[in-house]
Formats: sequence, C-alpha cells, structure tokens
Amino acid sequence: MTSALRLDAIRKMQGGRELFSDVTLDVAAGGSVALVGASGVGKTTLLRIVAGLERPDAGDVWIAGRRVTQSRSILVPPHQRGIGFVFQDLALWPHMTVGQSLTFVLESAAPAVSRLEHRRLVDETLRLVHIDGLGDRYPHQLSGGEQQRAAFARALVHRPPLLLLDEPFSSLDFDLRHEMRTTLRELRGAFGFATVFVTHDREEASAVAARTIALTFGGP
Amino acid sequence: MITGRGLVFASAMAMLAAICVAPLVVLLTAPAWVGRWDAYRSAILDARQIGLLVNSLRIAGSVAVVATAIGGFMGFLLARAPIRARNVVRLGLCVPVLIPTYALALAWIFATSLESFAARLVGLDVIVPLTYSPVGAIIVLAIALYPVPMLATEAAVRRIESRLEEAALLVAPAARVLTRITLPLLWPAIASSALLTFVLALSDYAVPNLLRQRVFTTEVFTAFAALYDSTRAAALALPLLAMALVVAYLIVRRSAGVVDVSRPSSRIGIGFPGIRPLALTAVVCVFGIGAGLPVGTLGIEARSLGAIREALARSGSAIGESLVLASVAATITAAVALVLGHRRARSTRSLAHWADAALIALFAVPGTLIGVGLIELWNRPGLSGVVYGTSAIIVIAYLARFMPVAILIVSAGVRRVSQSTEEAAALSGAGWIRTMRHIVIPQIAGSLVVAWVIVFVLAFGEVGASVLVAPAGHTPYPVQVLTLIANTRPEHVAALALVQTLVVVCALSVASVYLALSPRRHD
Repeated sequence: MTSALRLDAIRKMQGGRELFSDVTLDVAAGGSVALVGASGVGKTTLLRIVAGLERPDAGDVWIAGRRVTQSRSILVPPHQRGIGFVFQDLALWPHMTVGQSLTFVLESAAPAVSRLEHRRLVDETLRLVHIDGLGDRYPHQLSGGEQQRAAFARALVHRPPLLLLDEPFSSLDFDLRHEMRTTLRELRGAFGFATVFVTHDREEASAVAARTIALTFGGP
Repeated sequence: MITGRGLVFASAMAMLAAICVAPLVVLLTAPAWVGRWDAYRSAILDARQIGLLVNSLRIAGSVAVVATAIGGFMGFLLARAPIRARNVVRLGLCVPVLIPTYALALAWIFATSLESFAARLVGLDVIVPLTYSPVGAIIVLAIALYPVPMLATEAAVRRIESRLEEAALLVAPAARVLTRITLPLLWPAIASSALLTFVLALSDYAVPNLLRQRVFTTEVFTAFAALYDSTRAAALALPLLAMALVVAYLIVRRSAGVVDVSRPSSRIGIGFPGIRPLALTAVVCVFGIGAGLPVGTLGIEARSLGAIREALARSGSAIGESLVLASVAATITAAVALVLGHRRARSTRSLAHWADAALIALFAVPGTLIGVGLIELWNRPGLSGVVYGTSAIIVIAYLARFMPVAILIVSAGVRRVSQSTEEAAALSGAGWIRTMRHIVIPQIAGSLVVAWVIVFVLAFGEVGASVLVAPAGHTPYPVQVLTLIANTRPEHVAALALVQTLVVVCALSVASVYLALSPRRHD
C-alpha cells in the first residue's frame, strides 16, 4: 500500500547549526502520527518542509508515492501536493467570509468542478465541522472555537488525503480542546485522510494519533 | 491637582491649537466678522469657483492615480523583490518627496524648454506645449509624491502575516495568491495612501504657480497677495478645507483595520526571486526620473561650479537663516510631537482615530491658507504685531504646517513600544517625566530623529505659507528663489535650486548615517 507521506533522511540547518538530521518517517494512508518535542526543536519546520513551504538541506519528501522534494529542490509546489494545513495561529483570511475562503480553496484546487458542486462541498464541510450557518461570517465575527472549526473546514474542503496540523489546539481551553479532538476524529472517520499532528503535549499526542514520534534536538 | 504630566500635555495642546487651528478658524470666520455672508455662498455656488474646483480635482486626482501606480509597484518590489542594499535603495527612491517641489518644477521647465535635449529628441511640437500644461503639473507632482504610496505599500506588504499567504499557497499558484489574498489585504493601505497623495497634490502651491495652472492654492495667493481680498481667500479656503477633512476621515476609516493591528510579519510571504532584473530596472528608471533627471537638469542648467559659487555668495546669508529657522522649527516640533504623539499612541481606539483624522486634515491644509490665516491672526497692533514683524512668524508658519505630521510619525513610533515597559517603570516608582526620559525616549529615538529631519527638510523647502508671511529682510531661501525666477538668468536660478536640493540630500545622508550607526535602535 502506498504511504500517504514518507520522509527520507531529512536534514535542516538553521542559523549555522543543525536543527535536525536523518528524520525518517512513514505515514500510511489514513494513518495518524503525532510529532512531539520541546519548543525550538523544529517540529513546525518539519511540517513546513512537508508542505513545501521550506526546503530541507538534505533528504526527500514523498507524498502519495510521488517524490515532491528532493534534497534542496522543490519538485512539486505546495498547491499541487494535495495537503490540508491547520496553522497554529489559524491564518484565516480576514477579508473573506468563511464561505468565500472555502470557495476560494475549491476554485483553486478543483477549478473544473461546477459551482453547484463547490456549493455542496462547502455546505457539507461546514456541517461536518459544526459551523453550518456561519458561512457568511468574517473571521473576526466568530468565537475562538468557531475560528478553529473554520480553519479545519478550509483545510479539508478540497478533501486532501493528508492533513498537517501545527499545534492547532494550543490556544484553546480544556473543554474546547476536548471537543475539537472529538471533531478531528469524526472528520478522519468521514474523510479517511492521514494526519501529522505537531504538539508539545504528550497527552494530547496520544489522544489524537495512533503513533507518537519524539523529535529531539539534532533529530528523532 | 494639576500634575506635571497634565501641565506639559495642556501646554502642548494649547500650542497645537494656537498655531495650527486658530489661524484656520480666524480665516474661516473673517467674512462673518465683516458681515460678508455672500462670501460663504460664493464658496459653493460661484461658477468661477466650480471651474477652479474641477481643475484642481482633475490635476490632484490624476496625480494620485499616477503616483499610486508607480509608488504601489515600487513599494511592493521593495518589500518582496530580492534587492541588495534595500535601505539605501529606499532612501534613494524617497529623494523626490524631499526635494522642494519648486525645484522639481524648475527642472521640468528647463528639461522641456526649446533648447532642451528632450525637445530635440522627441520634437519641439510634442515637448514644448507640455511645459506649462496640466500634464506637466501632473508629471511633476506625481514624481514628487510617489514615495508616499511607495512607503505605505511597502509597510503594508511587510505587515501581511506570511501565514495568510502560505495558507493560500497550499491550494493556489503564486499569481492567484497575489491577486486574491495579497492585493485585497493591501487595498486599504494603497487606497489611504492614494487619498493622502490626492490632498498633498491639492495643497501644493509651487508647482501650479510655476507651471501656470489655476488651482485653489494659486487663487488663494492671488486673492490675498495681489488683491488683498481676505474674504475671497476665505471663500476659496472652504472647499479645500472640506476636502481635507473628508479625505482625512476616509484615510483613518480605511486604515482602521490596517494601521494598528499587527507588527511587521516575522517571515516574508510570497517571494519572487525571478523578478530581480525587473526590480533593478524599475529602481534605476524611477530613481533616474525622480531624482537623477531633476538634479542633473539643474546641474546642466547651472552650467558651472562658478554659478553655484556665485549663488552661494549672493544667497549665503538667506541659506544660513533658512537653515536656522528650519532647525528651530524642527526642534520645537519634535518636542511637541513627543508629548502629543505619546498621548495619541496611548489613547483609546476611537479617540486615536479622531485624533489621526484631525492631524491628517491639518497636514493637508495648503500652505497658502495657513499663510493668510496667520496674517489675519498675527498682523495686529500690540505684541502679536511685534512677533509678526520678525522671523519668528516664519517659524510659526513652519510649525503650523508640519507639527501634525511630526505628531503622526512619533505616535507611530510610540505604538511600537510595549506599554508594559512604561507600566513597569511606573510600578518601580518612576514619575512620568522620568519614565519618558529613561524608558520612552531611548526606545523612540529613531522616530524622533526621523520626525526632526522630515520637518527640517520640509520647512527648508516650504514656500506656500512663508511667501505670504515672511517679513521684509527675512525672506527664506526658497521664497527668494521663487521671486528671482522672473528677473534672473536661468543658470542662476538653477544654481540656487540645486544648492537647496544638495542641502536636503546632505541632511538626509547625515540622518541616515546616524540611524544606521545608532547602537540603540529599537523603533
């Protein structure tokens, strides 16, 4: 079976020192992995390398059996990798409503699909993340939990096979965090995507992923 | 009980009101005091007034469009293109806004004259009619003002949180991210800078005066200086002030979500490594047209170092006096701006918006209106008359024109300083003055220097107000040049304008070196 994500001996230097090296990882289709580690160890950088937002100094990245990064070369640009990304600070576009954001993603990722289908996908995604009816709201008109759900909706509306999450629950209170973990499990059940979840909280890592990998200074 | 802080703030506010606001109030109420109510009616209904309005709006509107197109593009390149020595390039591109507009207009006149290289190259029939035309005024003012939208756009691009673009890059190519994410996020800043450029073009006096365009500012001057008709000047002032107020309100409203919300992004968003050659070509072209061409034209027209030496010998004392007056004005302005800029930065959001709107409106008031207002206010028997007869009135005119912009600059600097650093000082027992001296000022020294230099440079080139208020025997240097144009050899005028431009460039260079070498640059 083809892996959703494979990392081969990834190395990254930062500010003249080695951030990590020889990071090798295999995530099966539909599988889930949590990357844990202290602040500054390079968890977010590794996720950005997977997304194609940063280049490694060595090593290959494979997504769905296709080599997308080879050493310092980006072979496949981020928007052609078929991934969803939930940023730590959510990065919701302030000038677009939730519905407009989701439509923008669909128009970019699936331009051949009809508007009617786009509309259906937007409505379905909003319903699945429990913010149906909030599609015409701007980010600043949403509560913290609703913003979190809107970020999930944007990352998943085009049904990517791989979802990357960069400490998405770090700013939430205990109850909301618990609620969002449940939502994430529901969404994985509905869409079957693989996840790579970055966190510094080992308890959260074991709650959201089947496998936990500790990243330490210099490598795993 | 009045605290030291309250007393200092009240004094600064009183100074702002007396110097910037009172002349305008006196000017606007002048017709009412003499029972000339018809002046107000003619301000709106007069056919001549409407013609002036159309001409002024046409020129200022075109300037805003052209300057924003150039400045917006250059600002984006400065923020995102891989340009080496970016600070030096930025400074070079800012030179045109600091060259007095009369010098740029003179360079334009020389560059499009019968004997000019451009006329020989393109053809007399194409170039010469442009010299004294609305197109000429638009080109000169657009060159003078494009740095305003350039700096605003660059700052806005840097403030865009890179993750907003990265989130879009995961699903869309860079070009689509640029049009759908980056540009809409930049739009409020670009629109605000276009509006500011519009009012600055509307308030310029030197360019339309030299290029013989009838606009509000030149008419105000004619009404007062030639016809001694202050009620007509007041009537002409009304539409200008109304536009300044409306535009200031729009700028603040549009900028509300942009100006204060975030610090510069920690990462650069979409990079464009492939556009380096395009960026370098654009920088060379814009710098060449904006700074190289005017300075080169003045240099060629001055013909020799002898002409410059002669200009210095003839006008050396005027240059000296102008430098002193501009320095005094810049120093007083920086002191007042420190107090009021700090207060504005630490006020509530709604109060801050109104304060910004008022300050932008005051900065947008044309110099000729301020000049007429100052004459109405100060030219009276008694102590005010004594002040009016000295060069102090020129300093007051500079303060009236440039105090608002200095307050805005300093307040932007204070906003970048965490309020908790001041609160920590207060909790340690430091009073307001001690906190300002040891905590605030060291952190905003850069902003204070920038405010000082900008006011100094603008004051040194100011003509709109000082041409009206300058007492006999104390004519500022740029006013002297302006009055010499009609009856002096072109090479002498060119040499005078060149000297002024070189002084400005020297002042800028000194300030840049200071800012670059300053070991404690926090802002």
